[in-house]
Amino acid sequence: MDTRSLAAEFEPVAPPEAPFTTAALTERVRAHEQRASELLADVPADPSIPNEAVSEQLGAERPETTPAATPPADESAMRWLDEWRGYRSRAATVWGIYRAATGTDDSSLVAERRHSVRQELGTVRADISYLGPDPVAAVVNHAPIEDLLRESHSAVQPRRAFPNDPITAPVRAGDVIGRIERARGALADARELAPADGETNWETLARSAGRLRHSLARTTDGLEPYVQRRTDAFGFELTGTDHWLFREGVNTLEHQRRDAREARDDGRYATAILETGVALVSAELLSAVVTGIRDEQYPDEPSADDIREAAAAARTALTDRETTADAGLAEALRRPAVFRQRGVIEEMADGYRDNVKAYAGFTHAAMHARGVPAATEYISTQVP
Amino acid sequence: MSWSRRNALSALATGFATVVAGCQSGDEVAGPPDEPEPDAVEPTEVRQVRVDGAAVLFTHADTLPTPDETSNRHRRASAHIASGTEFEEYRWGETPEAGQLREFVETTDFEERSVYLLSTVVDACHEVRLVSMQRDPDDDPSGDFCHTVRPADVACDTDDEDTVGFAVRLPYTVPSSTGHGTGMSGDCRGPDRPPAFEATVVPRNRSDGS
Repeated sequence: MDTRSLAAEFEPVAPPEAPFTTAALTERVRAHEQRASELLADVPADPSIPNEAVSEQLGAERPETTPAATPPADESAMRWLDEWRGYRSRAATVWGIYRAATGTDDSSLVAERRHSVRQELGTVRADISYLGPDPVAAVVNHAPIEDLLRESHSAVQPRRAFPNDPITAPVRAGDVIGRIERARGALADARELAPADGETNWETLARSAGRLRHSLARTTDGLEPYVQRRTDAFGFELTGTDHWLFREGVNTLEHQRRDAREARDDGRYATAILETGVALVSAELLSAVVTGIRDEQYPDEPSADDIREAAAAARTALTDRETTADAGLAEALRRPAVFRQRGVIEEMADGYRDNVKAYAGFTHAAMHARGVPAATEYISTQVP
Repeated sequence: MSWSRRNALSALATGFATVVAGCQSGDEVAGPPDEPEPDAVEPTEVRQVRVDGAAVLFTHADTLPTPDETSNRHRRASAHIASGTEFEEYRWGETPEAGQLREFVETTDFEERSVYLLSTVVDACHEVRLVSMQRDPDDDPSGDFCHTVRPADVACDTDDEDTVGFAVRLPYTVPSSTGHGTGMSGDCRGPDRPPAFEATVVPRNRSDGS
């Protein structure tokens, strides 16, 4: 069956909204733009560097275009902001290459900046109080802040050493400076975008993240034979759609559990709670898949109509959004299914999803979306 | 742990060993694939030269090509010289740098040492560095090199060419050279990885450890 042409019949559902206002995001972008301009202004258009190869490397690193001036309407506005951090970082790389190539040794500047980012990052992470009108809102608002802090933490790690003699390795010197600039940019975004009003929810979130760990353990208990023994647990060979639904179900649950555990261990409580919520949905989904397989619910070789039916089920489940008080949480828990539905359509169009994988993908997205309302309610109760 | 031991373990874990070993009876576990790895070898001395322009530093041919004849065939040359007789088979360029290489080879004590040679053309803004030397189970040496940009304050034009030469004295010799290898990496950044941890824990509990 040609799933490429079938893909044209389906439309991705709208992605979630951005977690911050356009005004707030635009303000951050302007800050990155300003910083990048200052850095680039220090580098002459025609720098006199005796080594032509270094001069060419500097030219190749200089950004030719800037990211878009205005943000997209949906969640991809966060990626837009990320592109601007990347632009700022690249400007710093160019600045660093130029300085090293013209004989400036920035090793102490690098050490100072790295230290100051680490110090401020430590303070911000230690002081994060998860301000918000209520704990659930704080979870939703702070997960992206935790992502930014994590990005900053990662970028400030000394992956490569600053060269002892920068003039002999200007590109490496520039790379190190560029990465630190990314760390600074992400830290500034986290600090400026973090909600400034509401109650302190740190204690509630920290405690809830720990409690929810047990919820997840209890929910997945009966699924362990399937996760550990995989298809052996059925006692018969899985084929076709059964095989793919089961495989995606197990993999998703395992990844979700790992992400939830990492976030919890790392003290990223908002992320831990969201990831645990998604993991709970994934656990319910895997249970449903196991039952479905045992009850022979899935076609072995799905027809075009089977795929249309699964796609329609996914669309209905994903767009049937109840407007509840915790719509933001529901939206966050639904997110993986939204991206899965989009991914399935794109992969069909690109020829990477045959009929079995297309059917399994839509069915997985539909089941996930159907699990979201109960999980939203559960999390809301557990994060009081 | 050596490459082969690590691979043998992972092969056993995946059952791959049985596959590569071909027909094995059901109970028999295949051993590791028998592919000895080259050992790293520490040079006793290295001589490095650089000449302006594309030049021939040494050749095994009867006559030295003139610079005009420096075709692609001559842009990179390498050799392993293990005896005075082999040394006599080479011709050397007329530049002082070629002379330095020749002298370095000539003064080698071939009773205990041999010499690996490399000559290659690079653009004037780049340099070649010796990363490591290896000795394979047949005693053939192999040189690992990388290519990197010269310091930013070296005035150079990427359209110009230079020739770099290496003579590497190895801490062993062979009756006669049977072959050699050369590896050239596009940059010298290489992954900053520690060597593999190597320990031998005896898998038995007998008091004599056997």
